[in-house]
Amino acid sequence: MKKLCLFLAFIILLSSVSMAFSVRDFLTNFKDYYSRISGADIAQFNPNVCSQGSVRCNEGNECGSSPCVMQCQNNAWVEYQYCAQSCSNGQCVNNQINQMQFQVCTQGQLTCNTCNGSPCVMQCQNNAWVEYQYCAQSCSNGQCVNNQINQIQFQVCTPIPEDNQINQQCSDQTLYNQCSINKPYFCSNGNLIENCNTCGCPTGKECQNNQCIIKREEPYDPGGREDEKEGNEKLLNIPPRISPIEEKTLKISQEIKFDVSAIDQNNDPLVYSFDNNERRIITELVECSISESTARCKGLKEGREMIKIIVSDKINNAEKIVIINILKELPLLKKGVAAGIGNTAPVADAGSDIIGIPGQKIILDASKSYDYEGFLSVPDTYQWYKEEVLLGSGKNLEKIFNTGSHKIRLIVTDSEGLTDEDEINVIIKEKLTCKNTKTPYYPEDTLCNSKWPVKEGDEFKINSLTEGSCSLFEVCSEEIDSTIEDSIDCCSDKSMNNPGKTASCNFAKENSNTFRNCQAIYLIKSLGKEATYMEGYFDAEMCCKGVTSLCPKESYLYSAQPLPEWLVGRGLKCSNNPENNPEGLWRSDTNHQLNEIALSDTPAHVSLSKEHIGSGTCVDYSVAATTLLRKIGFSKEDVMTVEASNHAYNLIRFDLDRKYTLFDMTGNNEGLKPGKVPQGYEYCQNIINCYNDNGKIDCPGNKNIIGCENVKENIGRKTGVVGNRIKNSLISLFEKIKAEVLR
Amino acid sequence: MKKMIIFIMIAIMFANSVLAQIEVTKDSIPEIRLNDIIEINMRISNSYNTEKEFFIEEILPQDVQVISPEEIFIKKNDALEVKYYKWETKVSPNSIKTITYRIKPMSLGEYSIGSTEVIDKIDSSLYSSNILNFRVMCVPNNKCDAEESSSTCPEDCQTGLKDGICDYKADGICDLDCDDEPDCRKSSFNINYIIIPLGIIIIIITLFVILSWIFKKKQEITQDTEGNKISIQQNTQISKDLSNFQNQEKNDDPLKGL
Repeated sequence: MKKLCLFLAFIILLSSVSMAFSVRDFLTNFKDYYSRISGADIAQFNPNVCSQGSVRCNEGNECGSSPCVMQCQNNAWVEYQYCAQSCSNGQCVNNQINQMQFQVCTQGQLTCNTCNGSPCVMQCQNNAWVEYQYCAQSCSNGQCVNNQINQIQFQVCTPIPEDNQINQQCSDQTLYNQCSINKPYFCSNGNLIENCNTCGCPTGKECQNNQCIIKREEPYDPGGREDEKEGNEKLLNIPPRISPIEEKTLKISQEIKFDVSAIDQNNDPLVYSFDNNERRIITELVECSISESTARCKGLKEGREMIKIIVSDKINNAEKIVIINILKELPLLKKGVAAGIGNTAPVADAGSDIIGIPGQKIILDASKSYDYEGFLSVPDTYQWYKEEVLLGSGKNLEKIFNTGSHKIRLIVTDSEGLTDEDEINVIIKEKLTCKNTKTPYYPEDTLCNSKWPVKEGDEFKINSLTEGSCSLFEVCSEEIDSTIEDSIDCCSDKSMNNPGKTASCNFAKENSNTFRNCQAIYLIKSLGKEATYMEGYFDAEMCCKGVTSLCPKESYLYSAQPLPEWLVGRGLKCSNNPENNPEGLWRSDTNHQLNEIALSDTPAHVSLSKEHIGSGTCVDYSVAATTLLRKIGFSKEDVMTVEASNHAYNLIRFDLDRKYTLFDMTGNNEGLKPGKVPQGYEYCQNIINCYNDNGKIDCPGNKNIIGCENVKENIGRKTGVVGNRIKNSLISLFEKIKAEVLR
Repeated sequence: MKKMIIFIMIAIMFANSVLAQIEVTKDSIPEIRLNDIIEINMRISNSYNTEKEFFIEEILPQDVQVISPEEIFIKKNDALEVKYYKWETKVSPNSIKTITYRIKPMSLGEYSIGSTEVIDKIDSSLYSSNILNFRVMCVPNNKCDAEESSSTCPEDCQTGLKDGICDYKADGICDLDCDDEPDCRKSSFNINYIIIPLGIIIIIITLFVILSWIFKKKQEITQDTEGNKISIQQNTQISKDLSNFQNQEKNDDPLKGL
């Protein structure tokens, strides 16, 4: 008995540490999970928390301490609306406008607006416009208008007295809330608005996205203007393009130097200047000069300055704004004190330990380092050492290490000389995975060891349950390594000589916060409109399979047509006919006669190279993206190809992000919208299964996908929510304990 | 000498035809506000001395409204619907033809219009334009609406909002979109760190006291049981003795057998 008591006490004692940090999370999760799975209103158990729909301003740390409106949903306060300035009585209030303009509006006045993307009525309260009512359909003249209901009501209700009818008409005598005889116009509170969803389209047009369009069958002459070529050559000039420039922080009297990287598609010589057309500019706060592509700026006075840099090819200009923060220098600069605030040391973060193979370029990334005062713009802010030997400087450093373990030290120094250090291990050893190939870019957590073909007769299709995912998601292929090298060049600020690559690279730099995120966004964007590695939509796959709706011409059905110019005459084969219509397969890189293209899921190296196909359909684009992203090291849980109803696309959880981002690059679609779900398909609703080189894996729940949070999941979708939740809870528990112990 | 002149003339003529070319470019303003209509100018330059006829194909981005020309084509790329213009046009010799179309972007952010494909109607040569990028920014209204973020609407939205974009910055705002952010790491005193372990210790002590009590009680019961066992045994012995005595008495009965 004593032993039992001791054992119990020991177990409780052991669990108490973990319980201390997880009880609240557990309870929150439980409540959340319960309400999600049962749809039950927890209010019935705890009726006094809040009343459904009520609003209030944020308290404490809610909304990250930014002003916002909280709303009661399912008996819990949730973030409802962020306020640009402040929140008062559960409403966002615009102080500035109120202060500047004595009377913005008349008390009680109503107007229409868009609230969180939906039409709504705004009311004037205390000389400020506040959200008053959300409209289900549309808003007109300060009132919600329900088109459908009104139509029905007009049929069943007592007719409006004649004198009212006369008043309630639009200019073409259409009654309020009725369709005009001139389709697609709808009479909304006296205004005729286009609404083809309700009123339809005139003959010859069809309604798409509430717009009447003329669908054509044959090409037509769009007209246009003609100019003599001579003397109008400048019309053909393409303006230069400037790469993004990071925000700079410096002290008064301090000088910083930075490069302005620009490219011109016409290869015209470029001239750099400021917006005063001079190579030197002096403002109240800063003095800057530019020589060729190198700019120097010196702080003159405390403040925030925006300097416009102009790059001209002598015909057209491109401009980029550089934000420069100038911090005050104290008369007698004391160590640790600057700009009137207590200067704190920067925080060095060299990331996690890195495992690589001999000959691989190892990227040392200090992106996660930070300084609360922003003093990280001086040269040599980031210095990398190996056993007291300086390896180099810069936020990112590319190095090749010998076999063995290397302790690498990052020293981050701010403008005041305060420093912080972090250390990581770079371990160079023989490959543990992708053993049978030479690729230096591969994921550690793959089951693959060989490139395509992994084994004879291996037939993996995205929607089949057969083994062989390594033949499709070719994480071990060295043939696509040059693409990975491009992403490294882009993110380590090497100049990209190709305009398409430059555009993707600029976008990647502007929208990423770590080196790997930069690489990922570059690779994704390159599959988009820039069409750098894959071009167009491979219609021939669909035509060969006899998919009428996806084949541009009936005459192409059951043939290897239409082909992009680089595939014409290359012997691509289609043996399908209506009676014998199997799915195709890629069997050989050298003899196209062995390949069948009918709806074939091609290996990543085939889709990514014009030597083979260099194009594809949704599965091919998605497989190529997953492969590339896995090769740059995103874990098997963080990148996947999604199988959906008649479609395929991708999910990625970028470094530092809490949730997954959905993207779809099919046929060079512009399918990556940071912080949003792309348009053109019901992406959130239709997720069925997820795959990568490890085969079929659990898809994340909609709650964990940016923009899908409030969308109901497809029945039968395997999310592994419960399993993952337990696993994630354990991981986060361990991390919390570790952090607390360190603290 | 004559031959030389003829050769030079042929060479010049040949060079002329080689230099003659078709160029395709596309331009627009680099930035517009939401609900604005953007005008895209597409230019085809014909340096040849003959008129040229072309087919043009221009794929439009997903979330745009077509303004003019209204007539468009629609095709499907798997489940994605793609809108595109398909035109045919003639370009006079040594001229630049400008075709303009207008669209209205429906959402904020960066837009990209891929290469325009221009195909020579006679020899099927393909010419491609540059890729056009432009940005759609918000109309500032001093309110950070749902579709807006710090990148598409810096006037209304500060960084660090819960907008699906992780702004990894040490700016005093803990961005809830980030899994790990400097401002979220700042340790603040959490009363739960004291209350919960303290509560657990109290539970452990209570549990220990209860268990000890139960253990003690059980011991007492065991002792009682053992005492009872002895008394039962004693009782059994007494009853046995009594029965033996009674039997003996019976056996000694003088009336036995009557």
